[in-house]
Amino acid sequence: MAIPAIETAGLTKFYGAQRGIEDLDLRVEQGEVFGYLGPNGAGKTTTIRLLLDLIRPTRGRASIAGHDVNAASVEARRLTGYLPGELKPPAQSTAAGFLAHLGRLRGGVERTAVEELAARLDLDLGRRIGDLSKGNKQKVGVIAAFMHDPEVLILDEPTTGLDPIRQEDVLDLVRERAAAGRTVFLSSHELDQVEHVAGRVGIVREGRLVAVESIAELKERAIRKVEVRLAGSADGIERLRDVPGVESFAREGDVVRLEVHGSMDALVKELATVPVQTLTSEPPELDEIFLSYYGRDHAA
Amino acid sequence: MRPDVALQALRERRRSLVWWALGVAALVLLTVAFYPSIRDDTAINEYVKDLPESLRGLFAGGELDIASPTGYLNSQIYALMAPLVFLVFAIGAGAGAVAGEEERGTLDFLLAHPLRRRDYAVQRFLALAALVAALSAVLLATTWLGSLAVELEIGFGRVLAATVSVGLLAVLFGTLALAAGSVRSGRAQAIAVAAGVAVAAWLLDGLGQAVDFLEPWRPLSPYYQAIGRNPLREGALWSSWTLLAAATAVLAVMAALGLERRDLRQ
Repeated sequence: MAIPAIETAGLTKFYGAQRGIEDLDLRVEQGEVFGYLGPNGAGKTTTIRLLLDLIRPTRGRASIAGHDVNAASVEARRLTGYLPGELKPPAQSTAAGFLAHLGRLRGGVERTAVEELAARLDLDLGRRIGDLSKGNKQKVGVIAAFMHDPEVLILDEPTTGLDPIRQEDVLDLVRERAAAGRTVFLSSHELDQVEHVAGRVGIVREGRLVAVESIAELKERAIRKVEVRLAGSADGIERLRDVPGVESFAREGDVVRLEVHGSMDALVKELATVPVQTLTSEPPELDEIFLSYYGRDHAA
Repeated sequence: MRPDVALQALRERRRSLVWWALGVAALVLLTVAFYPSIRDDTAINEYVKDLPESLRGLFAGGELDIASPTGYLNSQIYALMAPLVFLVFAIGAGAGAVAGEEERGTLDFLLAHPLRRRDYAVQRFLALAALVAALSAVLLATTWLGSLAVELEIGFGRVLAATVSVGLLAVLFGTLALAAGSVRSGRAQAIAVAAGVAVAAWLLDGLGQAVDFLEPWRPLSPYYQAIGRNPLREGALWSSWTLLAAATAVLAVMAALGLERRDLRQ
């Protein structure tokens, strides 16, 4: 069997009495894009910092491409590209100077690789980092993570602080590297940020990995909130209650609120028969997915 | 181990080093420029002689004849002002190297690269030593050239010895701050530890000149080893310098091991 890109066994970190992550058993295969989902404070960043040997586990172990992250940390990190949730690069350096320094720490990185990434992300490398906006600082981090074409990319909330166009650029980069056989470990607190790139996701909640699922299965379980504003008389609107996938139905005057499980196809077809003013659908919240996964009684 | 971290640290401190160098040069040249006006003033020695011995020890290098070339340079520069300036510089740099970078959030990202933590600590130590050496060169050059200009007669060897002493003392306390910040996070705490020990060392040396029961403990003070033994009069202090260098090496190793084993703050 191939060596997994990332593997953890019983990985646990407590900060004093506070739980960071507990008994994490995870296996991410080479070439996989793995989404690591959880609300803020669930233990995502703790996991990533353990993988990078920035903090040490209370117990358990982890390896990257077969290299133990503690005993062979330099080898493990040599194969890794890392983007922290919020990068704080030194203010007085220029972006180019800082990236050159990081490249030297990796034993040299092609300057053209840096320039190409900067052009794609529309970053002026000559500017002082202290003068850059939060989003532009984040771009410096994206370049630092990708510039040496690492085997394993570990990205902690990679799209935060970036405008939607740049978010898409970063996700494109992720797709490209995945297509080239690289492994990407992507943390996020929103399913929408990973659903178009990840094949599988793990969900962490309160320091525990509660589920590992393919994106397709997860979406099947997801509950979306749908709000329909009616444009006129809506006789028989009550029958939406019985449409497959509709979990709940509430009506207040012209506004109908629904919770829909899985595919919306049947609902949309049924709505075609009533006068609709507006139709809004919220992306599923992670907690909602979790609830759907375990059932309301169980989670409460 | 390629010296990338040390070189980067020097690059980042380049500008601030220039300002510190200008400050040291101004301090030395202004002080030396006053020498001709007190050279023939015997009254000033009368004044110094009337000072309590402990104050003379703390603030004038224990000098009785401050109108003499050695007495003047020692009491006005080498016994107190130069060590003070150098210690502030070195402790700031030492505390900034690990604890300061950690607080600014830059250390975390850097150490996520393929770089051993102990190598990082050692390279930051080497950068600190190089920065202090550069500042020492400024102290040496301005003191020597200033002395020539005002015909303050003192041998180059003795100015060199006193400068080496000040430099070694600064590197020692800078490394203490580096080690404190490496063993436990917190820049303010690292500065407090190093500054606290430095003040204690200075008090022990200065008061030890006057207070009988402290006298036997004076050699424990790095301040005594570097400054109290008066390199400006005595010349090279090989045994003291060896002690200071050995203590510095121990602290550098502590910094490397301390940073290696602990959790980094985000």
